[in-house]
Amino acid sequence: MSRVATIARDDLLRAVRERRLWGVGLVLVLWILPGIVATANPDLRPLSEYVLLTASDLRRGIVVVVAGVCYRSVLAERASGTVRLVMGAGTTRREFVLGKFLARAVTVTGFVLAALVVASVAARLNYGGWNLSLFSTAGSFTILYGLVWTAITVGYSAAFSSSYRVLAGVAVTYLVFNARYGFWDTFVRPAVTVLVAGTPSIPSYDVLPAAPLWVQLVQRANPLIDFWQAVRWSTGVVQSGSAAGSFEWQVVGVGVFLLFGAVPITVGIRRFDNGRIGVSGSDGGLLGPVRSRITAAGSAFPTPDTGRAGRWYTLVVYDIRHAVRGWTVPAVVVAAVVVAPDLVQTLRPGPANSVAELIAGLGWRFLIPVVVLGTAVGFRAVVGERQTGTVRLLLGQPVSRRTVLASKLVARALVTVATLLPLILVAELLVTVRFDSAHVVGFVAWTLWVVSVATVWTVFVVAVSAAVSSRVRSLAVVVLVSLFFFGLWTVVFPSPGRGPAWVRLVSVLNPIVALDFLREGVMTVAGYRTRFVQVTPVLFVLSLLSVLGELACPVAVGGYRFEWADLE
Amino acid sequence: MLAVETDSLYKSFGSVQAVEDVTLRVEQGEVFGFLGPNGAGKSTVINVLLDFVRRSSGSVRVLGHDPEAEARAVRRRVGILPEATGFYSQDTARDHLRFAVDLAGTDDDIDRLLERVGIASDADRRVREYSKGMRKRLGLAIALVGEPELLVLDEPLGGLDPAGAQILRDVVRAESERGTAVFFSSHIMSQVEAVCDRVGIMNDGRLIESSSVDEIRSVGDTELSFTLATSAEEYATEVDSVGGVTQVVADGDVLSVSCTDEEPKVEVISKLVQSSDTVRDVQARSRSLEEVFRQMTESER
Repeated sequence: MSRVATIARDDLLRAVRERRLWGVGLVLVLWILPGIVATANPDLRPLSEYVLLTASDLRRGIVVVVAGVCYRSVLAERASGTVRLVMGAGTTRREFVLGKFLARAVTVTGFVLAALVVASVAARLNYGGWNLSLFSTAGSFTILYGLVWTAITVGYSAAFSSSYRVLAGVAVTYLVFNARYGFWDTFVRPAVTVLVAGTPSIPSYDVLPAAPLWVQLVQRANPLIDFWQAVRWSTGVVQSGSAAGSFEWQVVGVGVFLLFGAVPITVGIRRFDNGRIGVSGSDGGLLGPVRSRITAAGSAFPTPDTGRAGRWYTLVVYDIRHAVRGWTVPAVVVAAVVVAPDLVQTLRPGPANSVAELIAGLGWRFLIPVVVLGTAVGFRAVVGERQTGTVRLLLGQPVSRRTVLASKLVARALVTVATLLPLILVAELLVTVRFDSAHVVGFVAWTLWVVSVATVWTVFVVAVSAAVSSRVRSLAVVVLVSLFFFGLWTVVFPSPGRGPAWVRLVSVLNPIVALDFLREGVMTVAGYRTRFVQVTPVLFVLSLLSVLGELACPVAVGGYRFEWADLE
Repeated sequence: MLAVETDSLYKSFGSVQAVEDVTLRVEQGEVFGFLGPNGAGKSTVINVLLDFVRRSSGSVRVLGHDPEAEARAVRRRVGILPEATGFYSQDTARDHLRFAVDLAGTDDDIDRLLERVGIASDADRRVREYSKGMRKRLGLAIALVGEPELLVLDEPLGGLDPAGAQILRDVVRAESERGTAVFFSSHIMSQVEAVCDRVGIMNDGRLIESSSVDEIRSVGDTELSFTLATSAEEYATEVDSVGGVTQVVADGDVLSVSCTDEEPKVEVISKLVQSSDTVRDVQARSRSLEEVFRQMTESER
């Protein structure tokens, strides 16, 4: 057996024993599979559309599964030092990374196959027949999609010196290339258009093959667009014998997509080959210079004069400094990549949405960035100190555990809100420029809502980090709770805001829905009512109570568990 | 008021009994060495004293306070150097000390503290660049903030070079002279012997001895070595018959005798002197703390 295969075999055997893998399985069950089963409805869509929809839905889920399975593939062994054992046995670093890739590729393929089997059974039960040719075509591409993302993530895991950078790298890569988030269409295409045509206006076309060659080339430079074009073309050919677009273009597209995976893993191997074998004393990676500047700014934070300020203020100030050094840079990048293109594209007056509705919905557009930021800033807040041992340094000083937790809650919420403020101001600037008015009342209303949501979410995440004993568990709990309320819940109650009264009352138990009701209520009071959600005063109050109650529970549990935890 | 006082202290982690019925007293101003092999339960006792770990049962008082109920009152008066403490890798030593001084609400001179532990020239380097020994010194400096009444040092010698160990000894002596009690755990017996007034020995979660260093050294066998004019073999049987003699080894003209305590030692000497005039030299070897420690912990197994 080759060394690569041996490493892969051992890695697979160890992976089966890891809780993280079971967590990924839970993500699959809670988030991806319910959607796959729910959309198998012949009354709403034909089979061909269901197959495409399944492949489309799986794209997002696969990235999460791959990230969960692969992000520590190489890094974990570098951090623990076990990579030295493997190297000592005569293995090269290249073989080590390839072995990891092989093992994780098998694992990811297993998860994808499980999802495809569920989709096939759902189709068999609802549409009749197995439709193997259609499913195997779409399924093969879906497996390829998983393999390419595995290569990307394993490559990042070999290249970067912190698992958080790996996760941030995967998130940014996905957001930049995914057409849904608008980064490509907002920044890349206009930039190339200016270079080629001298104007930012892109020539109009009905289908991509009818567009000018350079437009096709720009689009073909996006591997995720290539992938989807190839899926559509292949399933079209299998189903009806023909499809829009040429075979040659699909070959080029698939080639670009394969390069999308090949480049990161090659770069990862090279960086790992030429760099330190361990992960301590890293130079800060690609974001090192930016981080250094922020670190310098963080050090300039005023140090409290203890004559006037208390220990509490000291803890908050120092924790903000540490949080700013640790997480802000990648989190801001991710948040900016999510929000900025979306704002640029959607904040335009048009027939579909009135100005009032656009402004009323502005806060909602910050929800994902708030979740990303709050999670990034908060999930290590307490448990990170436990795992690095700095909690002993903190509790060696005259402070109680309760004070430590309270200061963390305040400091991390402040960091999240402060990080969002520039993005909020960008949105307000766009409103002012495009709608010829600052809409100050609306701005205050939706900003208030965003700040409240950011505070609520960050407090929740910090509370979780106080309740558990490892960073991975903290992240897993936050992700699972998010998937439950964002994913599974929406399958059961797809339109809570427009359903009958009892559905809206039950939906209040979902804090995400409750927050949406609160947003609608606040915006209505500010004079920006929409037609999408019906909020009564009773529903508003219940939503408020729901959010506060669901926030108090994790804080109480986190506080209690941290208070009684053995800090070994 | 005692500096540290535990009564029937128990601590278990799941089914593992880490500490069992530990009753301990440390006087104010005393330097107390806390010894024991790996896994003996030393760090768990210290973690309970510092409220890093919650006890299962028993009572604990540190400077008159229960650390669980009055953690802040305890920490205000105690300087702590935990064994597995972490540091903020991006912060400098000066940042760490400023943080500790701010939290303690004192006006300690940070530069003086850094000089005292010998890292003043590296004060503005990030701790991620520090060696293990330098981190230990920084931890010691942090423990000294606020002139504590009790210093708890958990394995402070780990990673320290000889110069660092000397600084630590100097600090311990100086603090002791100031009236500070020092609770000091270590594996390095020679260092413990050099600075401690009393020692406690932990084994398998229990405190098996707690006495002064001299008392502990006198526990167990002592060894006499006689150099004779004739073959030592002739006297071996006679000496072996003395009660309290545990071992006799004859090697040429040297007779080595191990005794349990003072009484048989005197009897063996008088017997040999009376029965022959061939005794040319007698040496009584005093036992090191390490030997006693090893004997005590191994006999417990």
